[in-house]
Amino acid sequence: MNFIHLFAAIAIWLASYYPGLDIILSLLYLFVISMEAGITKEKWEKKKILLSWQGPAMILSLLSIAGLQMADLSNLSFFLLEFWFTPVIPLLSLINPGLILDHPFYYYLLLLMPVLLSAYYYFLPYKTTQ
Amino acid sequence: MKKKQFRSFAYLFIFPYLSLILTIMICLDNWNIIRNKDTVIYTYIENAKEGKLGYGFNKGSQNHITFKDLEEGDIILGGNSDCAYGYFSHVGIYAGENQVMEAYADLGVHLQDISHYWDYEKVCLLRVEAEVEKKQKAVAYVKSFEGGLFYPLAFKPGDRLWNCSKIIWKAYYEQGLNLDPANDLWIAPDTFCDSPLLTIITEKGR
Repeated sequence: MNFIHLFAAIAIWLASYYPGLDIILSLLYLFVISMEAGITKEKWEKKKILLSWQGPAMILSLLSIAGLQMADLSNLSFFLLEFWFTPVIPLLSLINPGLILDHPFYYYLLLLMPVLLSAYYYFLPYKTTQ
Repeated sequence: MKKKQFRSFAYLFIFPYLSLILTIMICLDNWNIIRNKDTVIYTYIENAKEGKLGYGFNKGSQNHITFKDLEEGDIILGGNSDCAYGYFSHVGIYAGENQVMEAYADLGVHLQDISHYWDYEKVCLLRVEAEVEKKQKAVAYVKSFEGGLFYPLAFKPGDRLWNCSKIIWKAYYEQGLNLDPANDLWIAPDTFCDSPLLTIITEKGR
């Protein structure tokens, strides 16, 4: 999964050079994740994959929240969090309801993204192939 | 089982394959820029070799620049030591009444008090040589994207992903003024220093 994620980040970033294509690849990324979830049968295996795939993002997200009073730390971790979630950035860029409590909506979504993507992957059912 | 393995294999290599194709397409599209050693990417590579990777950190000093001469549409550059992508690390556009429109990672495109530019080691105030109406329209353009998504490596095309330099470059570009004479793939704060359409009002720390 980390291999897919890493190259999806590169491909989707490069695709943002052609506006619109990045959105299509971002949707493709979600599709590939759902397919990967569909071929992973064991729950413990899914948990193992989640730990390596979303573990670093969870740490960065917690650092961003915990480091709110230490500007440099929270800024750096949020920068890295944005890079980590490059595959979903084009989709987040479509939602802009303005600022909420002095932060843009995407800020809160990115902090929650490790949980959202984990739930998306974990709860997708295993698909049997005939 | 074989079908399953093939599917998994296909999912694994779809994005590396797309990355390769897109890299080739972008390189072919920008061959002249890629060969130019004065571009942002070369600056970044050269600085990375010296261990500079991020936007730099203030080593404790403050500049004491005065903002009283600023007019709406003026550009403010701020810089700290060890910035990877140039001499200056941040840029904003003056929106009047001691407010500046800028883009930042956790704040997106937003309006901020200008006083935080005192916290940079280096600061430079620039004036765009253009009619007042165009400058006001440029400020209005940036304001229209308030809450917009900040992405550090945003390419020039498109109006969904922004960084601090791109939003200001695009605001003036929409008014018929190209502040990037090199037509680089990315815009960095230093780009504005090289523009013949800008003059320095005042600077500190250089």
